[in-house]
Amino acid sequence: MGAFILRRLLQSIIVIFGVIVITFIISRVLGDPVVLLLPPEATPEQRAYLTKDLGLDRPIYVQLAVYISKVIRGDFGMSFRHEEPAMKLLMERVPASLYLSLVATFFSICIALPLGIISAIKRGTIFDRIGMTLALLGQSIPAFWAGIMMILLFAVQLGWFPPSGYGGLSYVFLPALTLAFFFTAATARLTRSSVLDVLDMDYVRYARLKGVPERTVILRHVLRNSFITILNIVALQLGLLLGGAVITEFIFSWPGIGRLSLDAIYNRDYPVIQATVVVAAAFFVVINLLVDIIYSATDPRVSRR
Amino acid sequence: MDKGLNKPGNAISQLENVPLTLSEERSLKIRKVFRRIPKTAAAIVTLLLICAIFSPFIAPHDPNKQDLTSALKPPCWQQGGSSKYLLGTDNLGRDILSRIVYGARVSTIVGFAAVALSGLLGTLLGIIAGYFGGKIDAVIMRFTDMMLSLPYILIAIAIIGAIGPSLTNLIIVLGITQWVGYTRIVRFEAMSLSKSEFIEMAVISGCKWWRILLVHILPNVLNTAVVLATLDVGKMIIFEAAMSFLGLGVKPPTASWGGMLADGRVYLTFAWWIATFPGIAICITVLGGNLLGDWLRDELDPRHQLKA
Repeated sequence: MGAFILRRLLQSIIVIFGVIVITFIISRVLGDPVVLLLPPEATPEQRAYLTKDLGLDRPIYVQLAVYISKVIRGDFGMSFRHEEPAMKLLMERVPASLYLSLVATFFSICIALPLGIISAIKRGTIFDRIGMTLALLGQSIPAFWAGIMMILLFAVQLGWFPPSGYGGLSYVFLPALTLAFFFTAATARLTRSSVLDVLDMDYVRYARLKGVPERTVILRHVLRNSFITILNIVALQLGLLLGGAVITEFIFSWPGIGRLSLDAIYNRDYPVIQATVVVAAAFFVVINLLVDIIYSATDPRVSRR
Repeated sequence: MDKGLNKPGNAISQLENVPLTLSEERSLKIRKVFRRIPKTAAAIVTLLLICAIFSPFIAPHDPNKQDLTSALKPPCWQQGGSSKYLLGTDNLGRDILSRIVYGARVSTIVGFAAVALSGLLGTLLGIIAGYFGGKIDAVIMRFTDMMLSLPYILIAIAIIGAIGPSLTNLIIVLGITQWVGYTRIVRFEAMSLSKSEFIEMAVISGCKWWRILLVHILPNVLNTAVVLATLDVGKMIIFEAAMSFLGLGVKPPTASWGGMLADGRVYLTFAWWIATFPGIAICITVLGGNLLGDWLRDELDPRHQLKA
């Protein structure tokens, strides 16, 4: 197990390292910061000064090395737009994003798990049909359109919730539901198939043959064994949610990372974009790593693969 | 789902003992498959294609013709609506129905082209990684891990933001950010294939590596790739709509469903129809794609057939 964890750790470090290099390449390929930072009427001397100041006159590999060593220390440079370090701007937005993601994940779990589990256990019945039809519909509706429709219905027509803004439960309800929308459908389907997988196992058949009551078979044998797979799915989605909330945050004016990065992209604020991408990717990788470690600790078959 | 449980050859065996030639048997098989295509999905996809190809003949109005005197007209069944504009008009007096019909073009083109690009890229990388294994495999897999961990929506937005929004750019960006799924699954299949006897025979008989990949391995992973691709069309159409919604898709006068949603969002409080109908169009289209993909998966993957 130790070797497996070590190998996964090494792989994760390589991936994060690669992401840092990619963000460097993207920012260099996409635009010259000097042109972006200075007004068009700037003199050549001013340009040369800024180029030197930003270290852009040095060879590209030196720039890359400097960039990596700074990023590892959490320093992405000053935001082009705001007079503050990009990392600080990002960190200010983390609580809002985390809040939204956690509530969305909670919604997603509350709807998807029962739906998937019931569909699997009652395979082929009307419950299964309804559950999977709902999941299919959920997957076919663009989350951002669902968000707009929910604003129209619950905020404009009925006035139950505020249409946008940041605040307590009434504010987070609609955006979280929107964000949960797509994942709920996917989670329900994956949950169903992972429970079905376990239902096919010999030990489940054996337990039934032995005369164990169906309720006990489901709770003790099936759910317990499919739980790990489900945990995996949910954790992965939490990792994706943080980076993928861009449009939801845009629609509901939610002051999270997605909103920040969208503004940064419109303003070509590269330090902020780089910080967002690297942090979101690192978050995803770390969650993946944790899931794998939990996985290998609970299921010895994993690390032997 | 129970359709998938049909024993292969059921229809054939019903034609008692009449000996069939090979070509007859094959045409019967094909006909049987066609009969099982889900009707709803087929109808939706056909409708989409007809709208996309024959838009000028179907759309009742010019999609870009502005008429400010009839701006923000509600759909025909609501008070103030007229039968001239069945689904109402937007803030510039353009006919919503006509714009939806023309919008099918953008969705279709982006959906198919982006899926083709990402599917091709992902499948090729997948068979290379799976067949060669070792260092090549490790490099490709770390690269897919990287792509997977990158918040792809952000990357797509950042690239489009820099190179400028256009139909081609959108297709390229979607293509190069969405291939990971193919690689991971195809690699797995190619790995087990490369250990099979017929590949070993090919190697022994001196077959070149690229020939093994393209002639022996690729056709055998194609089923999987096609299923994934079909399921991906809907995702791409949603993605295109999202990008157009953010103003990073096709340029404004061109009708696109996502762009219409963005227009409608501004007028949401007093003109609900502008954002509602294009959204329904997206839902129906994506539903068609997903239904078709699910069906194909059940048809082509025997393991899944038993499970469902």
